Amino acid sequence: MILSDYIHNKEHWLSRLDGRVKLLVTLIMLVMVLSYQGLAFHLLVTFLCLFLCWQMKIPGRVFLLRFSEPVFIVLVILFLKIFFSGGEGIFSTDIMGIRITAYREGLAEGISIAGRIIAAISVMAVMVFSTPFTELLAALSWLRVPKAFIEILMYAYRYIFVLIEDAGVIYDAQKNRLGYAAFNRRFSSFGVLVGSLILKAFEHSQNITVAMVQRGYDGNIPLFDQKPFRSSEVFVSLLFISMMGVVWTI
Amino acid sequence: MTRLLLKNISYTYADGTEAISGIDLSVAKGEFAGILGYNGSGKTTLLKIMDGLIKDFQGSVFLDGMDIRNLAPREIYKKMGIVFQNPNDQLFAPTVFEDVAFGPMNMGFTEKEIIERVNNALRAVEMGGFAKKSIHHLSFGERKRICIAGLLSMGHEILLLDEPTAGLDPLGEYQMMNLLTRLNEDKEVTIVMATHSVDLVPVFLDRLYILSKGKIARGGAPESVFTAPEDMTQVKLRMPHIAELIYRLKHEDHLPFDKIPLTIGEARREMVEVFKRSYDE
Amino acid sequence: MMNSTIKITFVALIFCSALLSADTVYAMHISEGILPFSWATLWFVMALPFVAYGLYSLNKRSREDLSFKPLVGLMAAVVFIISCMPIPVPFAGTCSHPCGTGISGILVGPAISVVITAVALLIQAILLAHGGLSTLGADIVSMGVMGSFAGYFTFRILRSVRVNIAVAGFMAGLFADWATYLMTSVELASGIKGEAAFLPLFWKVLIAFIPTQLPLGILEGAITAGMVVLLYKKRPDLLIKMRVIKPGEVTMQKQGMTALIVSFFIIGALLSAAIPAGAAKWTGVDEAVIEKVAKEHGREASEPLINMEQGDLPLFLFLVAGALGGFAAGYYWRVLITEKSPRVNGGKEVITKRK
Repeated sequence: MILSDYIHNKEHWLSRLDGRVKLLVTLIMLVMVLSYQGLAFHLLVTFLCLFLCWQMKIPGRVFLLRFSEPVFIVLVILFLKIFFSGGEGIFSTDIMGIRITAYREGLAEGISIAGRIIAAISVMAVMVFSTPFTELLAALSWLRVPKAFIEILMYAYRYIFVLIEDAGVIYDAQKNRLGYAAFNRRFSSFGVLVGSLILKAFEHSQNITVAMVQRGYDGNIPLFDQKPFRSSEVFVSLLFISMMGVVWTI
Repeated sequence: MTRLLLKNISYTYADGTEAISGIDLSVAKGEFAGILGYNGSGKTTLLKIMDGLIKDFQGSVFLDGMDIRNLAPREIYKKMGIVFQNPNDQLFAPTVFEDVAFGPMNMGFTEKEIIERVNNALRAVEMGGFAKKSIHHLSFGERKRICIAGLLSMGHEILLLDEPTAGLDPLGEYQMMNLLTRLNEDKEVTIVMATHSVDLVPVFLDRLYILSKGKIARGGAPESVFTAPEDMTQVKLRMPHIAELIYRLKHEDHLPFDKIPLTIGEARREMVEVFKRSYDE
Repeated sequence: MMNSTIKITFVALIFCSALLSADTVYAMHISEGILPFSWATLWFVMALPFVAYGLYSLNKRSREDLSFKPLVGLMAAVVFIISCMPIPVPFAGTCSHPCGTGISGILVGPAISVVITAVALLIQAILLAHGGLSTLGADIVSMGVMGSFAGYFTFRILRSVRVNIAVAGFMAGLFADWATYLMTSVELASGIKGEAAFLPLFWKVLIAFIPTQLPLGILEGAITAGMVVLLYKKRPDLLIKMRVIKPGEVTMQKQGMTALIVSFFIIGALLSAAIPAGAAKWTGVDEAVIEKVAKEHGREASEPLINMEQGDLPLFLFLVAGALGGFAAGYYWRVLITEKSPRVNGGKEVITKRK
């Protein structure tokens, strides 16, 4: 499992942008992508985002992994739409005695949905590859996401890596003792692994609470005040959004 | 000046097992003290009692002359803090800066002061430049240093460390001990560490207490603690390797050593003396 | 006509399963961009009250226990990891992954489990591109709300009738998983149907999920059962602290199978009661054939010795006997089910509290 957080090009100009600006622009772009009915805007957004990802020198493997699932889902949806919706048939064929018909309306709808999915994924990819997770946390906090939610996000993000390590150790220990050899043992062992992870989570939570209490924790994590925006960033972002807005209306 | 004074400390676990009993010890200002003991001897429990994390013990703990039972947690934790054995149990923030800044933020410092404290603390543990790093990108030894930095940024004058060298490679162990010695000597931080690294403690520590079966079996300067292998076996520990070698050379091979050295440096000097004397004779 | 529909569905099934067989495909999350803006917004609006209430419950509980927020955060990390673990699904020849929300629903309750799910989904969307920001609302509703509530209530209901904790955990995991997929099918079908009708597409999506999700639900049930049993054996105090079981509560008695069978009967009865009342009343073969033929040959049927249709004394006696029997069965229910006393310490659970 590659976690995209590792892939973050610090040299690129996008990385130096304020995380709040990037998050806001991403959200606005997502709204535009989701609400657009045609294909032109989706193609433009996809092309732009892919270009930025290429500029950021994102490794090909990471890039492909991120896009592999959406691409498969696009193919499934295209299949369902083309062959299972109604309307004017484009072509028909027989497979194993079954008549399969491709429909024009289904094709159009499928392509529209496919464009929407790929464009949305591309927008997210640009944000994720240019913004460390902690900056996103700060941006979410600025957007008035409840503090409790931010706090839980922070703990979760921090301890994913610790618990993955723990899970790996437990899994290897089970495997070494034939925990996954027989089919019926496999799921029992997996259940034990999950239970053990929860126990580890509980132990870690007790220990970090003690550590935090001795550093003054009173139930709420303090957060820094946000710095003011750079006017140049705000101006350029507004200009970009306006330009995309114009294209959206076409 | 005594900073920490423990009088007749006893503690029993919830299942009835007696963890420690009748412990008396004191830690002076600027002292670098160690609590040695085998696994399960009660070292961690004792440190937690010192830090005020365990409250239902018998006896008294005095911090700068004040009973910690009468002190609010905030008052204790402005002066003293504990570094746990597993740094993952202590580092909860995503980045180094956020974690080290956590304490000062809770203390109410301004942003400028917090940044200064964080940078000073990171420099003190030789991790300046790591502020923006993610915690999960750090090595085990680096994480341990960040744990210490997290307490130093609060201005802690007393550090309690639970096996700070556990899990480190041999070079890492020496680097950690050197770091702690520098903090102790340059910044006058009082340090109490729980450990069972008998080879390291004579090199760096001023005073030792050996815990065995929940009691202090021996206490004092390292040379008064590491007297004979049999004495150490009784408390399920051993002498430093070099000390044991010289001890055997002296008592079994009857070589004329004047004292039992505890470090390689001391042993070298002793051996050179013995060889010179033998050569002269 | 019927045959070709079945054949088409079968071919679609195989094709979808083949497409979904790449082990990078995790079909639970609705991917970014699938849902149009209106539907994405609707699901967000539906999810928000649950998340808000979950945060309210979280803040309330963490005021009593400072370690609760870190615990919830780490539970979110566990749910994240569980829902990323690919499990080979038997018979489908593919991999899928558990939801994990049944587990969190049991441990922290459904409200806080919604928050856990929201956090896990957000991190997955950002780090792994599983799901998305725009589909976060929909995924929270399916996984967090449906999964957590289904898992939690299944567990609670079964535990309230003293079902074995392993069986209760199994059923909770099973229903949490299936509830999630049911809701996901609703969301997908409504989102991508365009001008087409909803139901046909819904059935197609549901059927496409069946090869993986039917067995996966059973696997998730097994995993959930394994988890609760392990926690009960190793740290019953943790389950008590999290209010999953009560102190002294017996969990391992062997009523499980009986309760399951009874449950199936109840479900079966409910299903049969749901059959439309307009179904024609069919006469039995006694009347339709035997009596008719006998009448044609001059041998009409005489009155029955006990006329059940006219409410007479024998009927009343039958009713009384039934009532008495039912009362006796209910009163001596536990004896009939043969309750086994718990194996530990003469009936009292010994909880060892760790320091």
